[in-house]
Amino acid sequence: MSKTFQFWSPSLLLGLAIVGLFAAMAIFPGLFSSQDPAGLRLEHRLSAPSAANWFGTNGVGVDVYSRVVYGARTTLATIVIVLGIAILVGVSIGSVSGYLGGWIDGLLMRVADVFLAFPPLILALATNAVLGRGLQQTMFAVAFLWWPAYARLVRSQILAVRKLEFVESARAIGANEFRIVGRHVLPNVLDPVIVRASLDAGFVALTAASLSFLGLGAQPPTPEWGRMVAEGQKFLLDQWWVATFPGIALFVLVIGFNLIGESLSGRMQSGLHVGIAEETEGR
Amino acid sequence: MFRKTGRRRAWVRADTTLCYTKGALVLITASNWKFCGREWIVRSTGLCVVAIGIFLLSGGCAPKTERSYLVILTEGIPPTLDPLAALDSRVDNPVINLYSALVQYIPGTTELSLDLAESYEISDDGRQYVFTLRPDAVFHDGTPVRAADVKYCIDRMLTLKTGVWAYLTPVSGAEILDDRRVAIDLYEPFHGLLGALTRFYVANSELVRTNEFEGDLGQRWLQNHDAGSGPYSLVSFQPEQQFTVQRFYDYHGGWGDRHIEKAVFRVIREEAARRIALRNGDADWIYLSSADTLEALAGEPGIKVNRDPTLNQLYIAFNTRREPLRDARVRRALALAYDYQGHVEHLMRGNAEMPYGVLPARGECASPDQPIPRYDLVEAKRLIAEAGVRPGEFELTMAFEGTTGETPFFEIMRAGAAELGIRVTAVDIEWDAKVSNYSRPDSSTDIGTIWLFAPGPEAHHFLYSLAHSSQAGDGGNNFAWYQNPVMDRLLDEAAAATEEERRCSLYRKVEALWLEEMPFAVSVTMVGLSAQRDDLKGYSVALGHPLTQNLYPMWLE
Amino acid sequence: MMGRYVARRLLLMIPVLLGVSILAFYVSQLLPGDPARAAAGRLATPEQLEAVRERLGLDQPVPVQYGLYIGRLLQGDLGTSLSSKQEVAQELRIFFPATLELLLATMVLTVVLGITIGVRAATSRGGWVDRAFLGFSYLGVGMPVFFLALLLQLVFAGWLRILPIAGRLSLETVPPPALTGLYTFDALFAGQWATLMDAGRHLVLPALTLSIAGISEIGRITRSAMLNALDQDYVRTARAKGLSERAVWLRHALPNAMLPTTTVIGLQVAFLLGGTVLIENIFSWGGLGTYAWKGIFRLDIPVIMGITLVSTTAYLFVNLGVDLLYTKLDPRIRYE
Repeated sequence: MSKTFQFWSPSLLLGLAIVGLFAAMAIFPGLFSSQDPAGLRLEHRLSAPSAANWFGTNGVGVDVYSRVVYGARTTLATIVIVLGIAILVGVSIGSVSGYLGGWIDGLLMRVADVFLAFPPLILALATNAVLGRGLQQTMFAVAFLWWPAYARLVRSQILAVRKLEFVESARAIGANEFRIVGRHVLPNVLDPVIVRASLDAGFVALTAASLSFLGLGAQPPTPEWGRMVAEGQKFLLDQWWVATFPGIALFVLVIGFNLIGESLSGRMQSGLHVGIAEETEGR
Repeated sequence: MFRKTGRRRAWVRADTTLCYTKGALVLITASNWKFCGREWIVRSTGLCVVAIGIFLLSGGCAPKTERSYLVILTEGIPPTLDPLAALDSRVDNPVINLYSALVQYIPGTTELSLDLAESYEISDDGRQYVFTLRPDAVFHDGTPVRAADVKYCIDRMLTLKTGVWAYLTPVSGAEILDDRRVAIDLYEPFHGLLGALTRFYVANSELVRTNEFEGDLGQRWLQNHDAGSGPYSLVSFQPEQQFTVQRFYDYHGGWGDRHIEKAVFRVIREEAARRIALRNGDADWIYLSSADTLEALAGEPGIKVNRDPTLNQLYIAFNTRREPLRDARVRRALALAYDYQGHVEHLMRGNAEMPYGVLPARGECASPDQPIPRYDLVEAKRLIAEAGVRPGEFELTMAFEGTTGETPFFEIMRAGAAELGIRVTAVDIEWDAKVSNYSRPDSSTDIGTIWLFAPGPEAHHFLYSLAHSSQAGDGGNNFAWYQNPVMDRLLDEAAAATEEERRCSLYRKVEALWLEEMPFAVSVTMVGLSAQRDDLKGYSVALGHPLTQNLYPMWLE
Repeated sequence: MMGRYVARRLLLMIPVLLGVSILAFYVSQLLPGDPARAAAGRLATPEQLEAVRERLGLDQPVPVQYGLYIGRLLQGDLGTSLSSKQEVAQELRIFFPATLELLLATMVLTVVLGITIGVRAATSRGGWVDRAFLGFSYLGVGMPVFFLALLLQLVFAGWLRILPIAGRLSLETVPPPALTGLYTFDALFAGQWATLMDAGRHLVLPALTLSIAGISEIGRITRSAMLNALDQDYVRTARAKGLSERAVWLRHALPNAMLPTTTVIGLQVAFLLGGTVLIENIFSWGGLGTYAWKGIFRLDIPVIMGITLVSTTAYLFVNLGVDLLYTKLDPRIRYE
């Protein structure tokens, strides 16, 4: 990373603030909204934003603002679970691959190649079709997309670290393999994983929302921003608020994650170096 | 039949001078690039892009030509043009224009009149109908319509046992008596045969036979070809997009002075897009699924909205083989927990009707003294308690079609069930997949919506296909898997009863049993929503052919 | 040398393609529904079902079925759609041009605008263009595609009414005589200017929506690469030789900055292949994206598999193409 890189940059702080706000909404939705995100009130359907309903009401009379607030929980939970699975699987496979090498390495990396060969949304769509519609199914489908990248990342890190001298010397002293891994290898490996995860978080949210928009993700009445935009589509011309506010929420959250990710990866200031390393990885 | 196309903002309307000026601008920019060398690439590209942008945004160079054909926008494209599949209203829509049937409803009514048949006789035992075909009916390729074609279509229907066969189950076969006379035989007398035959379209048997593929009886070829004798013939069919029909000059019904020459049926799934097209004059008739759009369009000048009565009845099936729905009290409780009034008044903004008893108000044997479905949470909770269901004890799945706007129905049912302590989860699924799921008991959901689009007002179409045990599974409409020999007997007797009075008294008994057992909650009757240019005349809804646009009676002022 | 590299890459692609086909086949086995019943029709008799099962080879052990599947694939037989009863390969050919047109338009917009703006931002070195672009690029990368599409529809077609809301052509425009299936090209060849303009106008919103993310990405990469390149020795040499700034940028810095840009273009294609499903849905485009979505909703197994295989294969070849382009751009990179 470039010398001019500064950790607590304004963009990082802004990003953290945004994500923090949504995280708070996810954990304590009651603080932000007092209305029921599933409470049907047909007589108030499609009302414009007002003092009673800050973001108006949707097609069955539910308060849009409260659905946006509770939707934060759905989206953030999706991100956490998807990245959690992807990292777990990816780190495991990548570690095994990098550490053991040989034909296992070759095989595992070919498998990763196969998954990487699919255009992302197509793979997610096909997997979702198999697993059926629903939030959990969507999460698994989306996790399929991400583990190969982490596997590759971890593997190349391990390959690099293995050869480092201090690992050799630790082994020479006769230290336990696990200790070597735990104290020397893993910390070096996890750093880029965290950076990558923060960059990916936004895209995970977008992919999951896209699947929900198409009708595959969260099912009613679970509030999910992508689905809410789809529901608002038919009211777009007259009751624009139904689709617009969830879309803006999604947009802002993704920007928040991107700000964090970019700050951590130092991409903006230093330019190319980290970016190129990631792009040309494994080619 | 030339139409003036709609208004556009003045500054974006095509204007020759302005157009040539823009063209000149683009040329100058491009030549700038050429003359000033590659160093100017960046700047020139930018200018070029901007110029092209302006050019594109403000419309083409040619003046808008006036349209000589009708444009109809629908929501769903027909999956096939095979007349046998005209059970599906998406298929019935083109087919009613491309094909003819033996008998047909007079447009706008439920009265029958003869179409391909010039006369018919019913045998004394009611088990055979002999039709004499009119001599002047021809298919679009010129071959005359003969008894052999009718027999071929009957045989085809009985072999494939799909589509409109569901309306014609009592038919056992057909016999050719001579060139123009054909007999249709029934297992037992069926008072609704003539009404059901309005959906039985006659196809050109020679043509279909020539185009069979691996013994499929022409299913593949008929998916995108026309073998009919109707007033219009197929010009083109682009899958998932549109199809075009053209007047068939030799149509046996004849043509008056005023008619539609050519029409394009195009699918645009987004209602907002359809609405804009109508407003701009790009479309003449659009289908609407949302009452909100209808109300928004209702006041606009030059536009007429249609609120058409239909025989389309919404039912909510309760799977009688699942806990706790085995208990009729639970089913009755759920039926009382659906906010019907809210559905009609707020969701559909008054554009829906409530049924009489278990039949739509315009159905045969329906009368106002039958009970109208109620929303009564107090009574519902009492029933639930009586049945011993504890709050939170059960979670039920409910199938509905999100793509055709049924999501609010799910939400209403869910909210109602929540009041009773029953959790309902969503299974958003398209019609074909839903039918497929309901074909077997283990893959059926606990609750499911089903719109019954009847081919006629006969009560048989509604009640038999829903509540008879033979209609459960294997693609039938009995999503409730309801099996009651008493009900079966009543329905069978009513189907065979030729006198209306006896029939209706039997159906009263069916209804009483139904309301006691509640295999299906009876929800709203659909009001067909559409909007059109107000100079398009002759549009009439055929109660027996829901969601179709019958072009033959239409014309433009 | 190059030939050997290409041959090697193609050979390496084979295991990946095999893997993709295995995965696709496995997935098709998992999908709910009985393919025999679906092919035979809802009310087929048990004998008919058996006959269909035999014909499709469904009673064979799974590896044999996979073999049959691969055999059919190699002959170009992608099966028959369960819902439309037409051959999948045939339907793909019908729906393909619409998507190709959209993707080409998007790629052209992305590359041209992205590189142009990136260069401009780099050369302005912190000027307002640079700052404006950086701000815009954040929004561009973070904006959900479907949301942007709806917003643009609302603004340009709903309120301002200067662009069409959906579709490839206006309702009264007759499609040009079919040559390639791309309305813009076909209209161009046929000399139908009005149709060309109409098709172009309908391309604006969908292509613009899809290209925003790409413009942001490529613009950024180009800008960074340019800034880096401008610090290199060969640029200093060029400057010392007395070349004008513009010549330095365009003849020396830009080609070298193209390397990372090319990589990103390859990645863009992956994004586009997915994004097209969303866009075609919103704009009623009638291309492969629409076809794919319908297939998924109807759980039409052959369609889903067909789309997956075709798009994956296309993506693999695009990546190969990008890598080859890489070698052309940078003579220093040699592949043995």
